[in-house]
This record gives sequence, C-alpha cells and structure tokens, in this order.
Amino acid sequence: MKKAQWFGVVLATIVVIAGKQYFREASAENLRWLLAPTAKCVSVLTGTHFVREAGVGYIDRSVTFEIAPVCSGLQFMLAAILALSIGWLSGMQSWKGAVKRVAVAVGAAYAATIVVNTLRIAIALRMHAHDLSGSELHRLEGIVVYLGGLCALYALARHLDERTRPCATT
Amino acid sequence: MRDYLKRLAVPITAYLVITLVLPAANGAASHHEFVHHAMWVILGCALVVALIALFGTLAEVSLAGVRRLKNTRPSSRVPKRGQP
Repeated sequence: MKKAQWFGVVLATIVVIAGKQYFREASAENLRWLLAPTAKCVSVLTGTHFVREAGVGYIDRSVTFEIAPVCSGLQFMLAAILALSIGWLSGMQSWKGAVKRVAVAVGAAYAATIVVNTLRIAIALRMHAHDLSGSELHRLEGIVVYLGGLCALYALARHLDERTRPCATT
Repeated sequence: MRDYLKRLAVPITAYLVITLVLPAANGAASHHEFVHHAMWVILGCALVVALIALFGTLAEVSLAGVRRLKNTRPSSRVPKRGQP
C-alpha cells in the first residue's frame, strides 16, 4: 500500500473517531444539519408533518412519532465514510487525491444518510401505524435497512469508481 | 455464499466497527444493554447477508437462464453456408 493510501485511511479514521466523539455529546440542536433534511424528506414521502421541538428533535403528534437525535443516522454516516474511503483506496495515488477522495466520501455519505434514514423512518412509521413497533422489531428494522443501504452504497461506489477509472496502459 | 461475504466484507466490517468495536473500546462492553444490542446487530448482519446471497443467486440463475435461451435460439439473421 502506498503512503498516500495510508494517509487516506488515517484521515478517514480521524474523521470517524471525531464524529463518534461529537455524537456522544450532540444535542438535537447540534444534529439539526442531519435531522432537519431527514424530517423534511420523511414528511414529503409519508404525508406527515414533522415539526421541530426544542431539545427533543422533530415530532408529529398526529402519528405519535418522534425523530430524536439517536435517530439522526450519524452512525450510518460514519460507517459509510469508512466503507467508501476503503473502497476508493485504489484511487488514492497522491496526497491530494487521498484528501479529495475522503472529502467526496463525506459528501456521498451525508447524501446517502438522508436517503437511507428517510426510508428507515418511513418503514418504521408504517410499522408503527400497524402496531408493529416493538422496540426489538424497530431495532432489527434499523439494522437491516442501514446495513442493506450501506452494502448498496458501497456496491454503487465501487461500480462508479471502476467505470470512471482510466484504463491502465502497459 | 463465500463470494458474497468477500464482496460485502468492507461495508459489514465498517458497520461492525462503528456499532460494536468503537463503543466496546469506549467501555460500553460491560453494560448488559450493549451485549443485548450486539446480539441484535449480529442477527441483523446475518439476515442481510442471507437476503443478499438469496436474491443475488436468484438473479444470477435467472440471467444465466436468459443467456442460455438466447444462445440456443435459432436466428434468421445468420446467413446459410456459402452465402455472403
């Protein structure tokens, strides 16, 4: 492995560890950059009306559902940054290239988090409406949607990377 | 199955690092709730791998069947021997 690739791995690890530390102490206000677009997308997709509640997150009282900081999807975003950075290692041929790839991984992970989390909450809302919202079932649904989404994102990222990479010449 | 595990190794490892390894390194492993959560995470991972392997195998078998049908179907476009 080249030095630039090691640098890419270290950079992604620093981002992930810093993100984990941030998540441990983050309030609903701190996580607004993730919660607000997710609540907006969920409202559009499911026809609900989530509104901001100070210190809690986003609530729709008519469906008795709450999008709390723990539902922000930041853990998914960090896992996606890590997976994408490792998946794009082969493209990290220089220091600049490594920084660029990790930055793109952060952007792609953010967009994917909004999409996957919206889907997860929409499914959870449907389960809640059908009285299938036991805590264990809700937990399993979250794990399956997040991990399935992560695998799909990784497969898509690898596919795009292979298509855009210039052919090696001999 | 081994092939699917190999392909999914990176996202699954990343997910396990974030949800289990880092919290355990921060001292969460001693909590009863963490062990309970870890069991659900591992069950969820097994379920996702099984679902991807199942649908992936079905897709591969279907595609192989379609390809085989295409190859055995006589084509009117193929010129007869001796014709240009």
